[in-house]
Amino acid sequence: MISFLAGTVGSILGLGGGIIIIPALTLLLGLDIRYAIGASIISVIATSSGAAVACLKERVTNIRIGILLNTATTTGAICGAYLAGICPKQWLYIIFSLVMGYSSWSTFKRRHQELPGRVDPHPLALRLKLNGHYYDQVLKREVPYSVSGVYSGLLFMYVAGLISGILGIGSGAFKVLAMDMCMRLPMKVSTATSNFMIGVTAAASAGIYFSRGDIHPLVAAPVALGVLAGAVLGTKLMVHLPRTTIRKFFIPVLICICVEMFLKGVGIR
Amino acid sequence: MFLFGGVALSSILVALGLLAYFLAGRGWQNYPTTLKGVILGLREGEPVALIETGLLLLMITPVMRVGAALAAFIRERDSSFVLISLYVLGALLFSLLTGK
Repeated sequence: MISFLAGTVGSILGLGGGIIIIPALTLLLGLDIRYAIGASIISVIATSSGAAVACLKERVTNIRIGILLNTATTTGAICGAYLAGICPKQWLYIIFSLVMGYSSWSTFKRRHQELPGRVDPHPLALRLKLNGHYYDQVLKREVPYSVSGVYSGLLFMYVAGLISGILGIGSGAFKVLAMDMCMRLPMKVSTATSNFMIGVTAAASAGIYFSRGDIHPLVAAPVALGVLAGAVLGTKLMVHLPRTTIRKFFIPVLICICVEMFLKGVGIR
Repeated sequence: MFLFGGVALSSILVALGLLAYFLAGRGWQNYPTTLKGVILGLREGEPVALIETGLLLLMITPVMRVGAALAAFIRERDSSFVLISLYVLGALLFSLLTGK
């Protein structure tokens, strides 16, 4: 049930659903955090691939942008895995929550904006042909978009990868934000592309978790099935929702993550 | 299409394994954590190994997607994106093979 819900919400927002899975498994079912994280990695991939199955034919995902940004996330994830032993975790949680807090505020300010206004395309975006268009089922027309801030987007993605490498989370929220804020992509394109990216980033660490024995088949199996079903439904819903709704959905999630991270940082939980 | 097949096959394997596990009615048990162990378990008809095969299949679907994108870029002769996706694929394989 919970996995189904996590998959639905996760794929609408372009997150992995790990935010919901980990607390649910540890707090409600009293499982070891190790297995919760292992199952969460599986759920991230399941959300990503499940959504992709439902989404690719709608052509919302921008694979070019996804692949380009994945260079930064995978590099960040590998660096993060090495850094994990050196850097004090408390600081990371606090820094992360502050960044998230700022971003949720700026998302909140733009909550009524349906489409990003006129965007000046970045020269690199033109050269790599990143600009695109998609058919919006709510507006009933093709929506063209251009891409700005390629470098700052890449930098953000590197940090997102770094965070997921160190903390073992998908950091999909961060990826959506980077595409939304730096690159000024339409919200639907950001969430769909983030769905693609989190799967690739999670696959990088899944092998490690598997060989460590953190992916317990009896925990991960029901989670995977639930999340897969949820992700297919969530993606179907997402295309039919107005963007402003997606945004409003997104903000409370950001605030929850933000508060949770901050509490972890100051050592209350 | 191959993506749909991969996801469908993986969920069928996981569901079958889970079902077989409950029918066998064994408690909490050990499970293999290496590819070799999973294959051995499959040969012995272990339900847990069946579940893990499904999960492993699910785990490689994102890698296959990057591979598919690479193939598309090669077909389009888009050299900068061929390099970019090769880099991603390389980083993925690097972290999968070197472990921690």
